[in-house]
Amino acid sequence: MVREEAMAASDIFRINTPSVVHETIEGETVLLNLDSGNYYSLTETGAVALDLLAAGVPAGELAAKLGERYDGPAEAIAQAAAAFVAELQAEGLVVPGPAAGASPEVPAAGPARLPFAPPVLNKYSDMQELLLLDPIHEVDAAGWPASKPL
Amino acid sequence: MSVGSPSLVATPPQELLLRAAVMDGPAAVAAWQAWSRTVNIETDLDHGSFRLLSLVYVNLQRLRVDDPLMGRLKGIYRQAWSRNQTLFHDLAPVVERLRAAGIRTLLLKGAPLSLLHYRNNGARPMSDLDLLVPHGQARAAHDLLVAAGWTATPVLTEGLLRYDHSVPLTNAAGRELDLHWRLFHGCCAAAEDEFWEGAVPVTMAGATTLAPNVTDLLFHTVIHGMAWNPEPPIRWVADALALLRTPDAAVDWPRLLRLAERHRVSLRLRNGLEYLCGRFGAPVPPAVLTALRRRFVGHFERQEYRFLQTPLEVRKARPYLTLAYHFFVYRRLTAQGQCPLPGGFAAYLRWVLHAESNTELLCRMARRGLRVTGVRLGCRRRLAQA
Repeated sequence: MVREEAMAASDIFRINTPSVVHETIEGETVLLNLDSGNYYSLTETGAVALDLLAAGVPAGELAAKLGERYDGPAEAIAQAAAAFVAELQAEGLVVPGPAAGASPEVPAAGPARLPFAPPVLNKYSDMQELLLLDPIHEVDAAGWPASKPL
Repeated sequence: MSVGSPSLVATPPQELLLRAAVMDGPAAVAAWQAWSRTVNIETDLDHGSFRLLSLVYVNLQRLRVDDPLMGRLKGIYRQAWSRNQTLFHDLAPVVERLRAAGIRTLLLKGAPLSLLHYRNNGARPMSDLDLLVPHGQARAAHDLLVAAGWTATPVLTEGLLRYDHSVPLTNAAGRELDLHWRLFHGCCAAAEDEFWEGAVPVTMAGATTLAPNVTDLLFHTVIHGMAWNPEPPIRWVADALALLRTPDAAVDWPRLLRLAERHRVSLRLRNGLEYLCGRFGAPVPPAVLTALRRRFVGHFERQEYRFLQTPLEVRKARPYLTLAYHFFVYRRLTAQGQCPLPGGFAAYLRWVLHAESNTELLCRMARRGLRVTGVRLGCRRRLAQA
């Protein structure tokens, strides 16, 4: 909470490149922290929130932007947005400051507001072990990186 | 031997998978559906086909294909993306280190294809990085890498440096790096300058280096692909098509023809391009194919082509073909008098056969010849008795 309060409303964050690489695949954003070897996955609200941050939306305005896209109590959205930014920062996925090049455009809100669900950062550690997984035989139908339950 | 030899072209299921990976619209979808009906992904998948699945995913996802296997394909794509990103990240400092030591580097094979032509870091899985350095700087590059904790297997001897084209290195983290000092086996250093002069800049995980231009990379891809390989030889087809379709990088066809002539690989290039056109509708100008068909192909170039199509275990039973191949490689190495090799062809053969002297070389060749003759006579006798 102290961290959230310390965060100025005008804080702008960028993806921590080149240590962090990311890609969005069918609405799911995957991030790889090449320094720590951790792999992350974001879906739904999390992917949208990261896109907004990467587009230069200040952390203090993130909740308002999410509120334009999702239907939910403003206070809950604000708390979830602040916690999400803090988590991204703690994992070294974003760092303060604008992107070096031109920021991507702020994604436009869709016509219909979806019910709000707090963004969830799924984390997979032990990249070396993960990379050794055979994605045909050792993972389930969802594919890598989830291994087959024993 | 024609391009139709099973050692070079894709099997029917592999061709279906290739079509699913590289074709557009209904052709790709139909190929995917036919492939998934034919092949059980859990039990029937060869390694070459597995390495194509990331590209299949990219293509099918672009075509908005809804299929129960898309989740699995997406997982394969994500793993390839993560592996490639990790490889680029871990090997970028190596490129920087070589550059700082004044050694020029040029990325070959997968890395430039991913970075410049697929423009997608997950579409083309890679297991190692192929790095070309000038022949004269290969020893220095090797020594610098060894000092940084890399191990070459086999050890980089003067013979290897003089006659071969690359050496694989690994480090404690399990990373693999192929250090090349020639573009391909037997490539003459004198004809290689053109690759360096035509190279284009590329950035890999923040490290700036060089890559072959699209024409040279197409040349290398086809030449490398048109040789027997224990792994099903299908990925080169997708790579070549990606190069031919790169929107803002047009192939310089006269340059491609010139390279084939200079490096004496017109037959390989012709058969490769004909295969790409015939089976996948590759956009190759008919005039290029006509020019290649009209080109004279000498006896030893044909023998080299036959040798390269022959599986490893069969090559041992073909002493003349093997000798003709090595003679042609030696001639190419010394082409244009730019690269005289001490000891001539005999020294080259001593290196190939690990013979200490010319006497040992002759003994080994005689033994091999007699063994093959004996086997053939024995076979004929058994056939006659049967």
